[in-house]
Amino acid sequence: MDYVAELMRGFAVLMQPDILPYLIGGYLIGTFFGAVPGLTSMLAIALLLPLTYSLDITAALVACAGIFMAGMCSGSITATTINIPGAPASMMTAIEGYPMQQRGEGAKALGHAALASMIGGALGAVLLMVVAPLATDAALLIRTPGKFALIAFALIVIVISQRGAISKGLVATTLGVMIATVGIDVMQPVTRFTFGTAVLMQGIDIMPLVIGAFAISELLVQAENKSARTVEVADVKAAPIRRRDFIPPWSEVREIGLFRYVKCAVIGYAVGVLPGAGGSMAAFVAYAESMRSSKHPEKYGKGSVEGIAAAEGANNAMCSGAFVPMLSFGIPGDPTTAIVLGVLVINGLQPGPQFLDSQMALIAPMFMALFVSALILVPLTLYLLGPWFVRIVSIRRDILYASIAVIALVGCYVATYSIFQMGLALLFGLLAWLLRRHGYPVACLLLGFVLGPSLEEYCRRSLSISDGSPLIFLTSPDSLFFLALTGVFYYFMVIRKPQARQHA
Amino acid sequence: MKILSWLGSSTGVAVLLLALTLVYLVAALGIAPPISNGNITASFFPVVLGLIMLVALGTSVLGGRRKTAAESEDEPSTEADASTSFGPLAVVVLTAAYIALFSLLGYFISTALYAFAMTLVFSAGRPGRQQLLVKALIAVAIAVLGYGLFEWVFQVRLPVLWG
Repeated sequence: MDYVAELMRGFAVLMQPDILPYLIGGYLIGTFFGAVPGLTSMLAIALLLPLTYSLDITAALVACAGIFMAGMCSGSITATTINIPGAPASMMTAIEGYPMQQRGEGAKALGHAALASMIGGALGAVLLMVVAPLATDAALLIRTPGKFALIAFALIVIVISQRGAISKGLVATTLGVMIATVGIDVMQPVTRFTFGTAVLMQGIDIMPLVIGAFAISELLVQAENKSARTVEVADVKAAPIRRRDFIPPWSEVREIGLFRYVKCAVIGYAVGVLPGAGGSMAAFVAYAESMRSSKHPEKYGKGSVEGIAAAEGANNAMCSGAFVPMLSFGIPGDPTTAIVLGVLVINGLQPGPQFLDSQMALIAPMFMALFVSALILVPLTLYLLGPWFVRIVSIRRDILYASIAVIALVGCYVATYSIFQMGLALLFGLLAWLLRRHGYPVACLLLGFVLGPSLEEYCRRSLSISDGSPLIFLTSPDSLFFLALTGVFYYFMVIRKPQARQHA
Repeated sequence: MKILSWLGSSTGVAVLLLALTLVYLVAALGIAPPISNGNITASFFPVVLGLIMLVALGTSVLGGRRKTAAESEDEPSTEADASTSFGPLAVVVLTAAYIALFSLLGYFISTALYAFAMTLVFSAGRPGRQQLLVKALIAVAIAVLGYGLFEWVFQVRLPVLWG
């Protein structure tokens, strides 16, 4: 009952006049960043990260929740209207939405996308509120060797989920862990890799890495593009949308069926819980399952509303799923939750088994923000701004990227009042840009950086307990469980998949 | 320019990562032996990481070569290994200059100049005199809005000239 009361109190806090504007503001920023091709909600949260130093933690978390949820569903706007997914998670929506737009049913496609996002996002938030305390209880049962095996499992899943680029994923993840080892050792008072530099003794902060890897590297990528606007004016003129057409016909909603909405939300949520999977995978898995179980699979790829509902429901439910491992184990499910973890760490909070019990007052408004974003802000934003969205996202690139550059760098400075941190952000930006150019996944770099210190700490603590014997990881039941789980995932994601292709 | 193009190529990135890893490994071994008196030390984990990185880099480079060879059998390579745009280089140089001058010139002057330069980098073509004026006004507007955001909304102190 206490937990439910805390959630209710969280709702009350969210509705306070000094907190609610952060949700609405965050949601609008997330919608803009999610809809503009080339920008992502992750970049929006990355730009917000330095500001959290001077922001109330509840307001920062609520804003993050709004950005995350909005960024996931707003990618469908340009995906449907001009066939350019605003976010990678809207790839499947483009496949079905754009043919509908060409038939003059673009507004209806957006309506279906919003309805599915609303149901998926809200169900995901409810699942998060139900599952998070259970996951926290489970986390309490895991001892030191098990914690090491769990983090190793998370990192391995992050690497092997990089389809077609597993070795590059391993390089990026290891590089992230290596960067995290700079500074004072986690167990002994010994400095490492500081090369005599005093500023590196405290280690490398998450902030310049996030700003560099996601903001500066994006500037460098976009500097190669010579378009004047983010979306060409000709495309904007070709996409008229009327507000009254947004409401999807009841007959089509019934045809999709409540079961499909719920199933895709659960799939999206479950994929979100997996480390490194993210919105694209959630949308893809739910879309494939929806097509497999559809009465009309022949409609897929030609403008199927079922396909749109599956993809959009799943990617919004993923948002909440990704918070479960982050809050219970301190293991972020995707890069966005890794940055949210950074927001918590900046404010002196470390998620883990005791976190929900001790900090529920801070976390409950964020849970409610996810729920309110999905249930109210998704349909409301589409209705109010939908007809103008494609025009809004067609903005001058010189203004957009000059502003992002200033916010990123000055944000980096104000967080620590350190010119050195700005330089570090530029260095990481250059490195991330080089990695991105050659297909090394930068998200792995961040996740490796975030999980690296815990991996080392639990590894060394475990070996201290066993007098240096690595057998402790096999004799400890929780550790053995996660190692076996790693084997199972490796089998299904790496070994079995190529065999299936060979048979095909 | 050739060295910059090479550094931007897949080989250049692999060599850069290899060099970083080797420096990291040497520095790790300089901290302490990985195992001392049967106990693992502060260098143990970094040494393991360095070795994993070497294996991962080797696998990645070999995989990349195999893929390129397979692609070149089917059709000529379309991968633009060498950089053909000066945009990213301009962003790096301008950002480095901005960081260097930020404290010296203060927020307003440095940010307005930086924003103006960035609007030029992200222009579609060579801007005319009137467009330059518009861009200058945009740059000042960005600096003013940034000042409002950081100084007034988030109440943080920004450096000023003669501050």
